[in-house]
Amino acid sequence: MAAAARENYYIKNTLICLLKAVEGKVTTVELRNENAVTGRVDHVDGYMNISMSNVCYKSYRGNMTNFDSFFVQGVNVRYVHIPDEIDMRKAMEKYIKLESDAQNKVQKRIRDAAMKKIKKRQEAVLKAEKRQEEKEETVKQSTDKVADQT
Amino acid sequence: MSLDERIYVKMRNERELRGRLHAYDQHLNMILGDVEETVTTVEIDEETYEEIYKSTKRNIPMLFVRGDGVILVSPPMRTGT
Repeated sequence: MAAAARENYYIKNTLICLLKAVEGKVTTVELRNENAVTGRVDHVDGYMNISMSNVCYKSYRGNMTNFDSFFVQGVNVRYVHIPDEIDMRKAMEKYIKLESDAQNKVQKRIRDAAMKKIKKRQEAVLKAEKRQEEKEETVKQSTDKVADQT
Repeated sequence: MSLDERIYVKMRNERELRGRLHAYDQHLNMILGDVEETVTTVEIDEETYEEIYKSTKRNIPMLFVRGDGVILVSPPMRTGT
């Protein structure tokens, strides 16, 4: 549970949110060992691990190998080419909006629950006051009756 | 900082990037646009033992750079300065 939370923190608070925009697109990832992988990015996680499909693995010497699926550890990434069709600003806004919407929902729920509690407490206090008043009324009435009799 | 300004980035493995900084984060992961990468290699001549500096350049329209390769970031240096 804590591991997933940490990953989500990384995705939200670093530029990895932009790498998520590349998911589903075909691009080139250059590795620390000077080799390059070109293919469709399937998934990017909070640690920048990238899983790809239909890749062509190009070594710095020029040797090419094809793989159906490929996984790059985040630490080994040097560059990720961003395809031209991606609008960075829109992708960032979309991601930030998603996150802020989710956050707003949670905050709203907390606020509503707090308001409910406060309301309940106020009603309980009102009821107690009413009961107190009624008690005093009945006491007053009985003392009046006694006063009338004497 | 220098968002949307041209900057010079020195990276590990004798690489340099010059590009327009679009975004960065606390790890120094960066998004650079219109970037020119320069890789510098030193070759030593067998006979004369002199060092020959070779640099390879290439251009990339939009690049995401992982922060752990970055050494320094600065405004663009005019070559020779």
